[in-house]
Formats: sequence, structure tokens, C-alpha cells
Amino acid sequence: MLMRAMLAGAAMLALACAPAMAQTPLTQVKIGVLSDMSGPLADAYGPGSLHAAELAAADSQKLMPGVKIEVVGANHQNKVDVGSSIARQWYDQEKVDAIFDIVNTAVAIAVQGVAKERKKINWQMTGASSLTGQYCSPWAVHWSTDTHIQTNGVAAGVVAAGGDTWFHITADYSGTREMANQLKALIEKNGGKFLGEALFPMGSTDFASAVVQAQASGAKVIALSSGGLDTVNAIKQLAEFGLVKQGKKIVAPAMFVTDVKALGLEVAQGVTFVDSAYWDLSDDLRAFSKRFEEKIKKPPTPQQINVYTSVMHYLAAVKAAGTTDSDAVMAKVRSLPINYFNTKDGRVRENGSVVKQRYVFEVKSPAESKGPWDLLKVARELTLEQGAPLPVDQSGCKL
Amino acid sequence: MFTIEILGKTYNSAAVFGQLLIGLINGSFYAMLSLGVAVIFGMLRIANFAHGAQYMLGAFVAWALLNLPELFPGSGLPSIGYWPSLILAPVIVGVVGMATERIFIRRVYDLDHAYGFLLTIGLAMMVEGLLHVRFGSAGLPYGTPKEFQGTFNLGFMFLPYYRAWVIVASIIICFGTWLLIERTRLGAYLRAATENPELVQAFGIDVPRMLMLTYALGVALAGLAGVMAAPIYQVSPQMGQNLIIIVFAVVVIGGMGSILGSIVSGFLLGLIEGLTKVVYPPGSTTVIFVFMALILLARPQGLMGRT
Repeated sequence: MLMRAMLAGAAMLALACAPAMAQTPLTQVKIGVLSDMSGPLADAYGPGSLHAAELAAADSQKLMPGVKIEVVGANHQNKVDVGSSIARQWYDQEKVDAIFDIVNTAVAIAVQGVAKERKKINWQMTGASSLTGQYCSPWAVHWSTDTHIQTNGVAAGVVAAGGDTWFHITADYSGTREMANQLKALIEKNGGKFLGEALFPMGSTDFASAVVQAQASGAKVIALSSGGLDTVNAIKQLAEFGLVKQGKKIVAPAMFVTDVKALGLEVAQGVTFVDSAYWDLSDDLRAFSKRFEEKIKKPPTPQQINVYTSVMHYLAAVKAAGTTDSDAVMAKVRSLPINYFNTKDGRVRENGSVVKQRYVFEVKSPAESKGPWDLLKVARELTLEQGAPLPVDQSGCKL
Repeated sequence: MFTIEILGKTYNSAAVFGQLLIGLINGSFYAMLSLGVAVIFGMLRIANFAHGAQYMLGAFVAWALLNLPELFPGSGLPSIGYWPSLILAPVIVGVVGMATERIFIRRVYDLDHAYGFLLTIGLAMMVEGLLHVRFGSAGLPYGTPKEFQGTFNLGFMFLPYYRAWVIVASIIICFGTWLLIERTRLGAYLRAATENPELVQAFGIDVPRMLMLTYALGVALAGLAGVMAAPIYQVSPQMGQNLIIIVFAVVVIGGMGSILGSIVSGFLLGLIEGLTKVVYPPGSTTVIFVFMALILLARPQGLMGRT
């Protein structure tokens, strides 16, 4: 009788423990950095993103001895088919647990779909807010600023400062069209007037036609919804046609620090945009930048800083969960507060959108700059609320 | 301001003139670039798909000349500005072209056109890739020369001085080259050397050297266009990639190898593109290729090509 009771007890105990015992102990984590390694976005992301992830892995390794953390990188070449087939191969065959960076909206949306089908984790750094809306996934995090944050941060401030008539120069692809539409809605909401738009195909070099239209419209503010080299060429030509001298305000929500560097301060001064970090903002960021520069030879871009903090947060969640199981890790990703560099108590929301510290940056004038990479100043520090993505119930995300 | 009617719709004259003028400026670049391609194809029968990369090299050389002190600190080299670069950069790029002809191009003269195409496109990808590794993708700044800062107010638009200069310079360069090849003794030798190399050689003219110099001339023209483009566009490794496809369309429309044809169709297509931007903006990137298809159907040898 006693024997029976003991056996039954043991069996019950075994059952109770079953989930924990079925879980394999955490021995390794594999991270993939899928980026544009050679194209127009490679300076802001690319090899620097991969290195940022490696630094985060090295830092996390100290907290997770006994766990093998591996980082792999690949070039999606801004091609949807290349990007999604690498993602499939990584998840299915090479045991990659999470994919990071994935800049380029079209590739990002495709990879998020691939990951969602497999219940795998992906972290996005591109701009499209549809990643946490229409295309949202319970296993995705959108770590960077999205089009809503970028436009919301800029629109109200510029309209309030007297920039009440706007002309848009927009790259003709999904992410930037989305940005331009959001910007238009925000301008009108804040009492500004939208005067017209010129569309151009990605990879144009000639913006003269758009510039002439912008000039003819008489708008006080010219908004560039574009990225990379397109933005750079457009700003250069706006300056050439004298629009900067005529006192037009140029807003480029998706501007990169690398673009500012490429243009030179003479041309780019005064351009405003929203981002979450900058290498020269604080002592810990400057220290990180110094480490980063040992290999990459220039300070990290805000995007690369984002890759570093995102990998840190992911690995912290893996450590807390004690597993790489997607559901368990995502629970920790959402419950752990975000405390890296300037962000205090940020958090990841249910739809994957992220509340953290963001700023409106303005490009310095040549006189203000003291070094080759001294390019930006903070025009306005947004509160966590002001810099937040769309509320979850307005995002259009159905989980 | 008055209105203009096109295809039953009315447009603001400012918009039409503005876009036509922009079209003329773009046409200047198309003409300058397709000119080099036409010279090389006309004389050497090589479809030089490295032309975009050579144009980009011209811009990079101009940038490097301007930044010599930063590139070679301590060497005491001076910074060389826009005007000397207009001569120096094409010469340097032309010399690179000469070496390219000697080492690579020469070997495919007698082979099918496809080999020349593959060779030049491969060379272009290598050069672009190498510069990408060294200089990144965001590009490098090159300011407008001091003399040309500012704009004309034409009433219907502001025209930067520099763009006006591009139109003038391009017309001079294009017709200068045309005169050189069609109206001088040197040009006559060149044309003869491609028609019947053995016979010309029999007269004591060094044909291989002549072909090398022709290639160098075509490449130098690309380099010159690159220097002219540097103050307008960002100097970046991929700046020639999109342009080369349009340039080949222009050359095909003008008639492969026809120098005058490539000049005329360069300007013409710039204008057509500009007009399309007024009438139907999304079509402006395709209109050149539609036009090319129509020309090939109606006149396969091109506008001014000989059959």
C-alpha cells in the first residue's frame, strides 16, 4: 500500500516537473544579422551592424558563461527573394534563433512573414510601421524608430515654428509612401497645409524635376520621404537650386548620420529628423563608440547602436528565460525593462513596437562642428510618450 | 504666366518650361556619355558597358584631386580644384582606359559581341565593388565651383549657374568630338582603320595604337562627364549604374555607332523625359525604353544609323 502511494506520488511529481524537464538546458544561442552589406544602406547598417551584434554577444557572454553565443551575418542585397531564402535557410537548417537588422522595408516584411510561419523571432530596424500593424507577429520586435515616430516627432514642431505649407518629395516604394501619407495626415492635424507631392523611383540621381516642382509650389517646408543615397542627392540638389538659401526648411524623417557626413555640413545644416541615439550623446555612448571604432574606424550610426542594444535585450531575455524557445523568450522580452544607454525603463509592447528614448536631431552648422564626426545636436528631447509608436489598439495589428 | 495645352489637358507654362529645361540638362549628360559609347562602338565594335564605371571614376578622380592633402597627409600635395580637374581627371581616366584596352579589351576584338559585353560589365562591377569597399555607399561631397554658385531667376524657374554651364559645355564637347572624327584627317584615319585595318596598316599607320587611343578618347569623355556631374550628384561608386542603361538606350535610338545620332538622341530623349514628367510623371522612367522599342520596330538601325 505504502509502495503504491509512493509510486503514485513519484509519478505525479514527475508529471508536474515534465514541462521543465522536457526543456533542453540552454547551451547555445545563434544570432543572424541579415543586412544590406554592399548597397545603398550598407554604411548606416551593413558590416557595422554585424560588428555591433558581435560586441553585444561578447558583452552578454560574460553574463552567460557556459552558453555558446554565435553571430552570423549575410547580405540580402536589398532583394526580397535573397533575403527570405537566407532567412529560411537560417531558421530551418542552421538553427539560427533570431534574426536582426533586416533593413529595407520590402525585405523586412518578407522576412517577418518567414519568421512568423515558423514561430521564430526577428528584430526589425527598418522604418515601416506596418511591421507592428498589418504585418505584426507575436515573435517580432520593431526596435528602431518607425515612420510614425519619425513623422510625429517632426511635424508638430515644424508647423508650430511657422512651417505651415509643405511639399513632399517621396521615393516610390512602400515604406516611404507610408511615411509620406502619415506625414500628410499629421501636418493637416496640426493645422498645416499640404501643397503637393513629387514621386521618384528609388535609386534616382536626378531630382531637379522634383526640386523645380517644390519651388513652384511655394511651400515653406520640403519633406523628403526617402532613404540613403536618394535623400543625399535630393538635399544636394535642393541646395543647388537655392532652396536652402531661400530659407526653406528641409525635413528628412529617415535621414542617417552617414547621409549628413556624405553631404557635408555646408549643405546639410539645419535638416531635422528623429532618431533614438547618437554616438556623442553621453559618456557610455562615447565609450561604446570608442570600442566600435577599433574595428569599423568610424563611430556607430544610430542604427548600429540599435543593433547592439537589441541583441543585448534579446540575450538578456534568453538568459532570464533559460531557453531559446520563442514564446518563453518573447515573454521575457516584454517583461524586462529596456535600460541601455539613454533609455530608462523603456518597454516592448504586445505588437512588438518599442517605447524608448528618442530625440529630434538637427544637423550642426560648419561653425558648430568640432570634429569630423561632430554632426548633430539635439533640437528637442522627446518624452517616452512623444517618441512612442502608435498605440497598440490604433496600430491595426491583429494577433 | 499662361497655360499650355498638351493632349487635351492644360498645364501651367512654368511647369512645362521648367521640366523642358531640366530635360535639356539631363539630355546634356546623356549626350556626353552616349557620345563616348558611340565612338567606342563605332570604331572598335565593343559595347562598352564599363562606361558608367568610367564616368564614376572621373568624378572620383576629381574628388581625389580636390582632397589630395587629406588623402596623402604630409606629402605637401596641393588641393586641385574643379577647373584643372576638367583637364586632369579625363586624362587620368583616359590613361586607365588605355591600360584597360591593352590588357583586356584588345583580346576580345575578334570574338562575338557577347564577350566584349561580359568583359566590360565584369570590369565595371569590379571597379565599383573595390571603390565601395574603400569609400562606402553614401558617397562623397563635391561642392559647386565658386564661380557657379547662385541661380538665374528665369521667371518660370530658378536655374543654377552651374547647370547652365553644363548645357553649354556639353554642346561644345559633343560637337567638338563630332568634328574631330568626321572632319579631320585623324578622324578619317580612325574611320578607315575600322573599315579595313589591313589596308590602313599597309599605309604605315599603327592601327592597334590607334584603336587604343580611340578607346582612351571614349573613356576620357566618360571621365569628363563624371567631373561635370560631381558638383550635381553625389560622388558614389554606384552613380554610373543606373545611367549606363539609359545611355545604351540612347545609343541604340541614335543608331549604334553613329556619333551625331547619339548626340541628337541624347538631347531629344532628355526633352521627351522632361515632357513626360509634366504629362504623366510615373512614366518618365520608362518613356525612354518605350521610345527605344518603337524605334527598333520602325527603324532597326536607329535614327541616324547606317544599315
